[in-house]
Amino acid sequence: MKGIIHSRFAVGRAALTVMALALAVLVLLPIAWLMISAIRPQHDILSAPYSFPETLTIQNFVDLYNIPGFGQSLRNSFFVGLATTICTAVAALPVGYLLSRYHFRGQRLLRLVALMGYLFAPAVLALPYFQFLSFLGLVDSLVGIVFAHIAFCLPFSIALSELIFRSVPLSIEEVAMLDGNGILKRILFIVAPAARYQLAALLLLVFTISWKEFFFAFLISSGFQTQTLPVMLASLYGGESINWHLVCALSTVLILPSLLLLFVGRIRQVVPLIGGESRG
Amino acid sequence: MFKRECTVLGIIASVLFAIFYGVPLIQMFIGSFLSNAELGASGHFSGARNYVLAWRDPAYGQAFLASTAFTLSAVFLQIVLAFGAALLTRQSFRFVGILRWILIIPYFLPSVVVVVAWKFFSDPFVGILPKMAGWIGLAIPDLRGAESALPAMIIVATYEAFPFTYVVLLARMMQIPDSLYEVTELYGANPVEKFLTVTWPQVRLAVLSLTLLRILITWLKFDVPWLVYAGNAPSPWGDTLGVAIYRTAFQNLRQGKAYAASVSILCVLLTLFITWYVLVQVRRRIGFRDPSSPRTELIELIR
Repeated sequence: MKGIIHSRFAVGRAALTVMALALAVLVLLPIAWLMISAIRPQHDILSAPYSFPETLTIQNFVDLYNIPGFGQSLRNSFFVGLATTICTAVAALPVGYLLSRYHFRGQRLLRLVALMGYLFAPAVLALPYFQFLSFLGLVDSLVGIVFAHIAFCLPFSIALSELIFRSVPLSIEEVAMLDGNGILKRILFIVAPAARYQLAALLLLVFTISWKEFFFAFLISSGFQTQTLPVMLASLYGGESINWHLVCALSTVLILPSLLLLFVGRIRQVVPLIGGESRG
Repeated sequence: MFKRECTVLGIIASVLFAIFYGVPLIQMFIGSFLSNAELGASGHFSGARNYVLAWRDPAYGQAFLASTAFTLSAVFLQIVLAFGAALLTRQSFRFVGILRWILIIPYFLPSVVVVVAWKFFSDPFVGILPKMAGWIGLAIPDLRGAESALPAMIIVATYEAFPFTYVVLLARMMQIPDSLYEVTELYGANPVEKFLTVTWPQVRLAVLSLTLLRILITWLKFDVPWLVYAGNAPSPWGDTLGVAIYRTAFQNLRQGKAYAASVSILCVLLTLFITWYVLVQVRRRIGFRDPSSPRTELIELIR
């Protein structure tokens, strides 16, 4: 027997089941309702919202695809996500490695500064970043969004990659060190392959964070050419009359990478590793 | 060779932090003392005028209240819900793995989607929540109205952030050794007594840390308040501090004032952060840790 509820009692077990079910339904229902509505005909959503969905259709996604700007937004989102992932990996992994492998003066300060990244709420950083980007001529460009997303992802990427590299024993590196291999080679060919699942989860997480980020994308982009999918969704649903069938379809598209991350995480048992990076 | 590698990496790290955090911080600090009405225009030194303007602005007073009410309610709800969920899923029963997995899903969803989902879910015409509430005789207020602005923000923020709190608390609870509970069973403790003597003393520091961290993150949240109204707040409670700074900087184009407000707010956050850090350090120094044995004396006290 474990914990505080006596599950050997039938009453206790029934109560446990009811509570567990209620919790699961409460969490799942809003999202499930949205995703189910995404594959129902537009007519059904409005006129018979509570009936059992009899006809299913992909018409909503076709309509969504035909909205001017959707294809561009999708491409923008993918570009920003991939570029952010690659740049964050290049910037954060060496620093995480440094923190995990060496003892040096200023190490605690570096760690503290990385932690303090949490302090810089996007709302406070918005204006300095905007000015910095307009100084560089990067306002209303995808590169500008990538820049902001990297700043957003760096603190937790460094913290997590330090944890990940710590889990790799130093001994497997020592042979390579004796052979005189440099730090880049050791990271790329020895440490990274040894922790590939955790690193893959971290990179997928960075991609997801960038994919779902709204504030900086909203701030920096100003038009179809540079908007990402979350910004497009916000403008779709911000109008006077809401086209729920399009909103549901676009939301479903936005949810998919997150679900992918969760499935991979469940299979590989790496999700518990994921810490608190959500801000905004 | 190792020394050289170390130096190179250290320099890379410093440059990164300087570009991404140092430059904006310095810019913010300098900008808060410059007077310039237009975005992008270069200003001249104006002393503490921006600070006076920001501190006297009633909009910021209201925003402070709105942010604080929003943060305290949302963080309280998150912690309570996450605590309950962690207590529940700490037990082992069938499908508990699936349940734990389901409970962290909202954390990975875009804020925009969470907002849209709750609006759709609670819509009086197409949503299922009012219908379900009707079955058990409850009336759900329309979340689109101005008067339900704050509740709508709190619900969405709680839904979005509680998985994080939940994961941390669950991890902490799973670390409690079973032997502690076995000791209390020798005393014939009931579930409530077990909670008070073992579970709570073990997790309270985690709860404290989490509360501070969540307050730090929620206080300046922009996207949830902004998206709940789709940008045009029908009620002053929608203008939290994050939104207020955004309006000053990008709608009223008063960048000096926005910087002054940002610096003031950062000072508050920094104080909170330092408090938390010092607490952690002091705790380590004086050896104050989570207790290693159940506080069985409490059982006597309760009875």
